[in-house]
Amino acid sequence: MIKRKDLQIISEIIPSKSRVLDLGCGNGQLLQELAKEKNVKGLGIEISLERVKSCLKQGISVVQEDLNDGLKDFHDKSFNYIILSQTLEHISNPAFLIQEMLRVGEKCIISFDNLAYWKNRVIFLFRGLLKESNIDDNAFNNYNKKQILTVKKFLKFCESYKFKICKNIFLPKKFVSFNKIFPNLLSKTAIFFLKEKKDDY
Amino acid sequence: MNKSKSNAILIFHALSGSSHVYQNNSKLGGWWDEMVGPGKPFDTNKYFIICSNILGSCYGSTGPSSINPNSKKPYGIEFPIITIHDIVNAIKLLIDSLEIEKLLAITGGSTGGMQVLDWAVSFPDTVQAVIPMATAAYATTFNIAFNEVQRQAIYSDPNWNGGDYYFSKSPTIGLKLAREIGHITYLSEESMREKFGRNLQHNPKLLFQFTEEFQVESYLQYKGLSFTKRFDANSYLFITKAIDYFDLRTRGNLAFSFAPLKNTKFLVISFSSDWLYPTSQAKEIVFALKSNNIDVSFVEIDINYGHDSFLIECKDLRDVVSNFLNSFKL
Repeated sequence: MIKRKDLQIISEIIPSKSRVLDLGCGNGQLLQELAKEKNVKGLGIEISLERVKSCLKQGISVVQEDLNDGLKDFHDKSFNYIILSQTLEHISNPAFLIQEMLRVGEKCIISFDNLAYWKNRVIFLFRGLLKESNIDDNAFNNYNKKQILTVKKFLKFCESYKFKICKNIFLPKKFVSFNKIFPNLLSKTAIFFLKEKKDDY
Repeated sequence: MNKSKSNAILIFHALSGSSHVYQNNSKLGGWWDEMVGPGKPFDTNKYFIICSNILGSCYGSTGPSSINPNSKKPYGIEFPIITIHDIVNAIKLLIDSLEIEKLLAITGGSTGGMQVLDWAVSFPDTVQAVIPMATAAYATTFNIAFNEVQRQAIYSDPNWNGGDYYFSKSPTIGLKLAREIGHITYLSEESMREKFGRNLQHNPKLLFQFTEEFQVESYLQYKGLSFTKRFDANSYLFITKAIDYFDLRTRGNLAFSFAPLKNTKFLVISFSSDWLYPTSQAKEIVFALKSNNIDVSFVEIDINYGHDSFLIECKDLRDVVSNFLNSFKL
């Protein structure tokens, strides 16, 4: 079991024995879970040395690299799944990276915290503080720049770049039907599944 | 060594190294005491550490200073020109004699790293983990240029006498100069500036003479001279030549060479201020491994000691290697 709900769901969806590339893999908890439960052969990319050390401790293969350079070292369709979880907000050229992900992976899974979540709006209204991250603050203290990311913004972005979204999951799941209608308001975390061509997922 | 012989780690030394990788009970410090010993990443309490002197060297293995059984005199330049692969083959005989079927890990920096890569490619199923650091899969034009200039320094010492000096004066001046040149390539501009700056050694004022005045000049003199007391000039020639010849690529392609290594795990390490074997060389290795879907991890340690960084105390390097090794079950 992984604490982070989006990673837990992602780990449940990925089939056994897949080849997975986790971009911005952090402490390697997703790859660790996948290796243990699904016999997945994974590779992580991570820029922070301290988090790389954590991955190595768990026997996860991890390359210390800056994702803003793209995935030039990888051949087309060399992975079944490429994950970009809680990392998109730190990428300076997100369109370029997603294009690369669609080239290198058969399927892409992108998750992020929705800044427009209703609770964040309430906090901003009363405290004047923008709730930038719903997870541990110390997880991202290496980064200086963060893009403001909302479900609406991401949907518009995918539309303008013609990225095909074949599935989405909005958390928390209890407001399941309302989530689908008002995802920008009701979802705390969003998970999107992208594919290069419009096929059955 | 444990019963199943599964905890053996083979360490390859670099140009001027020896089998004395760890001080242990001797008076002389080991060349890698920072990384080898109880509680260190290459933990002597946990692993069976092996380090052998390389062919062509002068610390026990056969080299140009060894006696040729045919002529009953030292080989000198008659010693055959050896390659990194020859060096690795010789060490393979040692491992075979110890009856170790599968090494837990092989590791080394610089020329040692070249041996690591050559071993991995030559004997693919004999090792679980491969840890090359501060190294390259081939000697660059830059490497060759610096090695040649160092060799020229030795050739131009009249005492070198075509490599035939074992019964007369050694080419000390030539070897000293070669080492001084080499030593500069092992440091970084930043570390030299921090350590010496433009500080003067003996006199508070400039003397306007051709004499050793700056601290860095004294330092190089000292390093060069102390090296001549412990190393053989001909060995320097043969080993730097082997470095120049090293090229693991198959028809220019490194990915082809790594193809047989499917079941091996790599940890490639480079150091940010190493300009002799820069990170770009490590990245080429990582790229070739990724192309073959081989399990590879890569780290660039941020440190300003230049090429020699892998030898000095560095917490990040220790953590990375320890964590990586600890993930293997013995």
